[in-house]
Amino acid sequence: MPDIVVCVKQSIDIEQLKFDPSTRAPILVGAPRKMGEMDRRAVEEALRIKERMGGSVIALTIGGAETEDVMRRAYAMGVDEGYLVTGPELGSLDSSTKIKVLATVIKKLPHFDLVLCGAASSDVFSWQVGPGLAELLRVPVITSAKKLDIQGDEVTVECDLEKGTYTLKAKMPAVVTTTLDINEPRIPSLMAVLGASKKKAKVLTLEEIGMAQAKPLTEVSSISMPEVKRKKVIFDGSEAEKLGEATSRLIEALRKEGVTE
Amino acid sequence: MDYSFTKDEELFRETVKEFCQKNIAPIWVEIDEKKQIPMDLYKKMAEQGLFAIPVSAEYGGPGGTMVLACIAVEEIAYADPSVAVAVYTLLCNGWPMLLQLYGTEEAKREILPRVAKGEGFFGIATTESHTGSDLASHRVNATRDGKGWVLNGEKMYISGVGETSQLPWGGGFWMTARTGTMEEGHRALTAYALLGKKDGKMLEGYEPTVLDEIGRGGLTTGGFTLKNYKMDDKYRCGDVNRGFYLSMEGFNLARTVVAAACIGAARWGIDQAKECFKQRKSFGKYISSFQGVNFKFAELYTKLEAARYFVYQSAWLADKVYLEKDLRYNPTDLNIPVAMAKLYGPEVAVDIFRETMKWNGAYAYSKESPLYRALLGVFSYEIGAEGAQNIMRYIIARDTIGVDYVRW
Repeated sequence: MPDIVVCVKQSIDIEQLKFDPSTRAPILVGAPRKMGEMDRRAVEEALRIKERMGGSVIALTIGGAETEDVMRRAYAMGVDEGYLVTGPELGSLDSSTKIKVLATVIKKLPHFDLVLCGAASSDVFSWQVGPGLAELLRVPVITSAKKLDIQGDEVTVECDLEKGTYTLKAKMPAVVTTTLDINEPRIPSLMAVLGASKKKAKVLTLEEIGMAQAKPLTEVSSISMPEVKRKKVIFDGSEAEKLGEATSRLIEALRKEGVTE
Repeated sequence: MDYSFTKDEELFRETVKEFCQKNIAPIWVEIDEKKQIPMDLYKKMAEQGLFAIPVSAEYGGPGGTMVLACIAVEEIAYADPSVAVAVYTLLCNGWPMLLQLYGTEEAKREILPRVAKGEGFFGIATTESHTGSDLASHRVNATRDGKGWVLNGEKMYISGVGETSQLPWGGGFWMTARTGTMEEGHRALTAYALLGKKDGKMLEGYEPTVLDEIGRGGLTTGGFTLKNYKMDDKYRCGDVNRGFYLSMEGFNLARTVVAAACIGAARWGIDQAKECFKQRKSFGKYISSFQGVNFKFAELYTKLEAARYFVYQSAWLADKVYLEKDLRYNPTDLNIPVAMAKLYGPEVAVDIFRETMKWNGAYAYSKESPLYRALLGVFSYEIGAEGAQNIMRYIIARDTIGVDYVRW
């Protein structure tokens, strides 16, 4: 009966993100946020393991006030307990420091067999959390899982790495990161949504976990929307006799750009 | 003043939207074309908690609110702008809530859990072939038969007649019947929870017929004849001869969700217009560059947002009155905001589809485009389903000017 910790993040909903047209900077204040798509798969996988084998599922997240929403979603999906490390200083921490915070909380838990997290968040997309956590927890890690099975104290994971599909095994406790292919996450019902609001996550501060002095190792100097310059070349094929020539010129231009061979 | 939705409401909208986009949006045209909501969709929707939302867990409901019901119906209509699935859902939210308020304990325990599970339908049957709005002239009658009742007559233009027959448990309608003379008008109507089918068996004396409608194909509309239909007194709702007044409360609930369906479909229409504007050029410009187009669009969008305020104000007020029992509010306080929502919602939706079809040009007049399906769907509410538009105007005038000065 494995005890599973799932790390989840309230990511910025990139599809709805708007940019300031003058500075090209993303408008982050008030930007819609939601649980990262790969994190949702991690929660779903943890719940499926629990439904199959028993055990428990703890959701863990860090961040500002907005993280309460991600915990609400995790509760609505069906996790047993939630831990939320919060505080105004968390906003300035980088990925590596946040990993230390997560690892510190996990180490304080009475027991865990498996840590699941999305292979990457839906906004920062650093792919660091899983491997970083495994390093700090001194346990094995398997990344980018698309299938997962547990037998005894061993976790077997199928994952796509480089040009092949690999099946890897690790002794638990271990960290496994999940991709979008691993499952189709459940959509909580209204009853689950209403039930989730009655559950409250355990709120911890950096001070309470002994990391009051945590400082970021890296600093983001700026974020801006990439500038896309369109070439606006028109190959006129509007008349039937010009179509053949226009097509040839288009193919030639695409070759020159390296788009086609 | 707080204009924001609660965290529960926000999360519910997120989840119900995801559910609808996954399970309804890909098949809405097929539903309209085949004139049938797939049986497995009822089950999935019930599991998601989308029926009988404001009904408490005691009667098998999710224990939600009218605001949550409106969120569900709005997102369902956005996914199925023909509004067939939304209309099924709104009926199975508004009228079960009224049954919860005024039904007998036995009737509530029998019917409401079946509606919540998607095994049974519960809608409204007041309209008769000669009139919908003028309830005072309705003829279906109920006479005492020992401890029960015998009903005779015909109801017409009733949504959900086919679904009542098709669903595994069955279902029925909040219905009014005359329990006095014609001269007594609306003061001699009693409300009943009339079942056409229960426990999988059609009931004796209930004979349904289905009509062929021009829109919202997925949901049936028809009528039924009652021939010496025998009914236990447990299905009577409220006191004898109070049916008109209780039904008016029910219409306030149902019209709120009707308007939610209209704004959901209209929101889809607005998105179709925006897509059209990104693609369609005339005279070397995007058509939305012309003020004839963008002014109209801005006007319609403004009206849609206004309709949305009416919807959620009405739902919020219904929750204050019926669920929170907040004594600062009275059931009649709902009359004006609900009438405004039901007046504006369908009209704005019809306007949006008509204009969006014009912006799309000839393509929109072909059956290749799905826009006509949405137009025909919301048009049912401009024609008068769930209350004629002029009745909405009358309610607003009567309750603002005063009943003495706005006499029939």
